[in-house]
Amino acid sequence: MELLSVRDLTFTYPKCESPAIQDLSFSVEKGDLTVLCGNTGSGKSTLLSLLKREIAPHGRLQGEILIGGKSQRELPDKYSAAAVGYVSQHPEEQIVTDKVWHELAFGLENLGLPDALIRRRVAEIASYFGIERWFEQSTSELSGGQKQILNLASVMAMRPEILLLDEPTSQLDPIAASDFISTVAALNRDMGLTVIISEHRLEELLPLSSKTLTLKNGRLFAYGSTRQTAEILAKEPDFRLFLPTATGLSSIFPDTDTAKTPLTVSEGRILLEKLLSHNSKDAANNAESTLSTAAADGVNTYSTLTANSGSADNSTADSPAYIATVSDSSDSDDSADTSITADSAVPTDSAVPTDSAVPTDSAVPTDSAVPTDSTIEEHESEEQNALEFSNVYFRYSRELPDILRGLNFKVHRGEIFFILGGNGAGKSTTLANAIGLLKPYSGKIKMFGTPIKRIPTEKLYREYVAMLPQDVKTLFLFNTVREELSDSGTDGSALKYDFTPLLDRHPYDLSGGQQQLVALAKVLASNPKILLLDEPTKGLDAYAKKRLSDLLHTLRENGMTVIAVTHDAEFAANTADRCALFFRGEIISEETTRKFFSENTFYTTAAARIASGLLPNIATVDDIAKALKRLDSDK
Amino acid sequence: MKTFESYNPVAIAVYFLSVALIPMFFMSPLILAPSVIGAVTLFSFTVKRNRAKTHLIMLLLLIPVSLINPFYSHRGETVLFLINDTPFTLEALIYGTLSALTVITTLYWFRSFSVIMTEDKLLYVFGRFSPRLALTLSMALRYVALFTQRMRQVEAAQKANGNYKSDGIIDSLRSGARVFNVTVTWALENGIITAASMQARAYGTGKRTSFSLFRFHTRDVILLTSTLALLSVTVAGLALGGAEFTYYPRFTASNRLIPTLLAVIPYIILSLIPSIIEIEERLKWNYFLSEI
Repeated sequence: MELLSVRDLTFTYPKCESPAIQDLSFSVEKGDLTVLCGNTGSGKSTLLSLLKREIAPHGRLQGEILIGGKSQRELPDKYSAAAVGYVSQHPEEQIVTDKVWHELAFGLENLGLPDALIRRRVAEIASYFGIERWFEQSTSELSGGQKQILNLASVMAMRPEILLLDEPTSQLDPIAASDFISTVAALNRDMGLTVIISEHRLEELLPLSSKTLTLKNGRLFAYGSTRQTAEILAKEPDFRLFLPTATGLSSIFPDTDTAKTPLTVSEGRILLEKLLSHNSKDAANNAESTLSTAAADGVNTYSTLTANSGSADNSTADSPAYIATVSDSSDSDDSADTSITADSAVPTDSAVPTDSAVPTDSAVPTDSAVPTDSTIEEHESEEQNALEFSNVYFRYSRELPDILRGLNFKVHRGEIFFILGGNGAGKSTTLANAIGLLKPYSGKIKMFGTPIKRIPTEKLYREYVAMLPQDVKTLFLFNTVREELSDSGTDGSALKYDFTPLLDRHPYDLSGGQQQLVALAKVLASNPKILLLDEPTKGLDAYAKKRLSDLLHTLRENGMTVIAVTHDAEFAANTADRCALFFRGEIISEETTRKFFSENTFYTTAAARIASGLLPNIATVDDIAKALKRLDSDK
Repeated sequence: MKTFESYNPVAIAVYFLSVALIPMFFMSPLILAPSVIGAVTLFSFTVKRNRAKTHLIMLLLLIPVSLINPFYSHRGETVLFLINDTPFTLEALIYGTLSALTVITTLYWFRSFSVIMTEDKLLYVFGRFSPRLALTLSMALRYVALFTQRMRQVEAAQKANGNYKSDGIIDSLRSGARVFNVTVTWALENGIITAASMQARAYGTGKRTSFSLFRFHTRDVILLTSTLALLSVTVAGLALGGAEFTYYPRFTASNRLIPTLLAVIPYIILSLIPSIIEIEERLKWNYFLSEI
């Protein structure tokens, strides 16, 4: 049954010439889980808010929106508010009242329901969503994930027929985001709830959805069953990055005769196995044996090829000269040493030492882009370490437990270092300690060999270090981007981004990615030696992430040291030189990126999961692609 | 096992008002004695920490406050001793002590009151009178919490980028203003989203109801009606001249027996209600535990 249908919808914002939504027609069946996908500015949010009459933006609207066969405008007020549920991307700001139970009841109170009925609905909803434990808490004490579940629950208490979700997980960490998405999928599956959800992170959502609707510049680009749409999107550079890793992989090898476009990791593995067996046929069943030798032996084809692809991934353009150096990796030990001593300040991509000093895990060649620990150790002097934590202990107050428990790590000058880990592990606390906002009660923190205690505050923040906060809005002071930039004394040229069209806009009106760029320009104005980033990918879409990743590489090439804490494994895999896993106030493992992700089974990227056991040393789709290409040309 | 505080907040509020207001308006040892006993017992049931410290403070308060009156008032027949040729009388001392006890019993009642009547219970009581006020207060409380959190975040962000100085008064004022400015802008922006979220959930589509977690069970009705009944009898007894005392020139009790009994007996029951409830509950638990 058709629950929602949109006919020839065109919408233009006031004072805008071109419409935000143009000639849009589609209909949604009862029980569909529809993913709405498209670039920032493609009209996703506008469409979703138009579907919800109460919050529809002002502007010129043409065409019709029908809900249950009736025009949206003719629905009674209370019915319309209750029947169409809406959750936005702001977990915090959507909450109205101070207590969890009151928030759940808020919509029902507005509908004027009697006390006994509200009590029953609230009880039912709280039990279903597992809110009982924090039922009487203050809303300000909840975590971001809990807040968003609360928002969903308080909308669900009104028993909507259709649920609209506007990037609901963009401000959440990946674990909270998965929880949220599986809750939505369960609502759809168990109750037949019709859902339209716009999302940046499609890795998990897409396989769960029945339909996918894509917008491009306010127009319908593709609409249909998820698998068909994914097949179309995989061919489009504008959409490819949104798709799950497995789908992305299939788009690189379009001529593989797969029955269906893979969406999940397990389907991706089937595809990869197929690709590998193709190879083995071509190369007279060589692949199988090579694989087994790869596992058993030391230097071999596989390690060569991955060493190669690894470094190629880190450089923005593969220069032919560079490839020539690497493919000759059998005697790269001396070249490694020389390149390190020659270029100790900034390890560029040409520095490619394989870890020949340590013979043990030779089957897994270390990431070649960055000098490995052992090589660094030999050449190390104190100034080499941009940031060094030794035995740092920290707690917020005497009665509370330690947040950092003997934290030890070193960040080398000119590298991109990522700290990954769960919520509340103390990652942000580590950054606050590194920048001197918090002071450890024991242990030493040094920057370029000088304890930060001895660096004058003024100098520390002006010359040494700058931090991009998790919520970049906390940096904005003025009404226009122009004033923001000139206040910090910068034109933003360091970012190689054209700020001109944004200059006269209010920082709050920009997209998440644009806001972050303005904030970065401000933060980088003092030209710090170390840049700290706290959850830099929160609220960014795949393309903004890619841009940020490229930007960080440029900064590193200019000699800056970049340290980031994040939950985002995919982003870390594409960006970092080295990664560390943070757990209960300590660094548990600290390795080069590729090694880090290929050795983790759970805390890792989808690409590494797909390749696990099939190809060694994989962190990204590019790694797989290059490994396979290399394999091909070797045969 | 926290029985008295689990009663409906309206019943509790009415109880506290009744029990604490009578000694404040009518000073009589016959009323004060049960009031002090009731207040202290309830206090030791509800307040878990630093009880001894509170008792000590109360005692330290009792002595000087009792002595203020006899030092200033020299009325009364029974002179205990002379200070600089001015008499220090027993009657003035009795009056002073009773006033001090009034203060202290009120303090004890309100200590328990503040522990039992948490923020949300108070909100609920106000909400009974005006649902709109209840919602406004609830939203305001949320905003205060949010605003302070945000101020802290902004301050940290600004500090970390060298924009926050606290070297001199002017510098820190300027930096503080900066932080405040950013937070206000954010709060206004935030308000728009919150307003949308309210509208999306049918706010303004008609008459609202006001929901609350608290319900009126039979026991709440019993507590409320018995409180009101005991209160009225006490007030009637007092109005008829019961439990009256004259302090000057000589400390004497009124001889109206029936009004006195009418006033005092219900008040004794009234002031002991919470303690009776608590003790009963404890006994029940002990019984159940021994059964198990």
